[in-house]
Amino acid sequence: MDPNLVVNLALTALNEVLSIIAHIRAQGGMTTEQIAALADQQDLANKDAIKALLAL
Amino acid sequence: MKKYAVLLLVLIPFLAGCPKDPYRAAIQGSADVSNAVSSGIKITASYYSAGTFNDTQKATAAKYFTVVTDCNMTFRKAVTDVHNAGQTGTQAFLPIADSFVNCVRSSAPVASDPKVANVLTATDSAIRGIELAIASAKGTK
Repeated sequence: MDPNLVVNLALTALNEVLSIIAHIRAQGGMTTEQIAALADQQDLANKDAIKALLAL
Repeated sequence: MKKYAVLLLVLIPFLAGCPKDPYRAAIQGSADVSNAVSSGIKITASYYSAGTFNDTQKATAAKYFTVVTDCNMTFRKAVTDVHNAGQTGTQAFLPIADSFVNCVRSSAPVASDPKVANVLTATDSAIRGIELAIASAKGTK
């Protein structure tokens, strides 16, 4: 196999791993209160979305 | 490459910090339900626009999402109240999760239509997952 291709594949895989780790750490870095506040906002947005859905 | 892939599969659960305290597990579960409802609403709107859902099916799904959202807000408030009261054990949070399940069961419409039921499945699974998440959390019994 072409060595350049192997390197590119390895770098792509590494980037995927780093991206996943960053995502997991970002979620883990939120406090429980921050998660609750986001859920509050999501629920209010959902209520508006349901009204819009019924109006379709 | 395969070795790294296997290593990644082994590491991800540890990086995700699986063991949570029951309060965090309950709030995270509630947020998961909110996200599932959001997705369900989008799918319902898409199905209705495409003609896959009729007015009755759309109304049934909307009623279900309304009930779940109201029950979820009540659940999160109860969880926060218990946490603020200083309770930390799984046994303090499990009855609240059970109430959430019963709240939805007693008020939500029964989706006998398989097409509607399919759209509601993800939200239903997220609700039932809360009890499991709390039971699996590390906390004083």
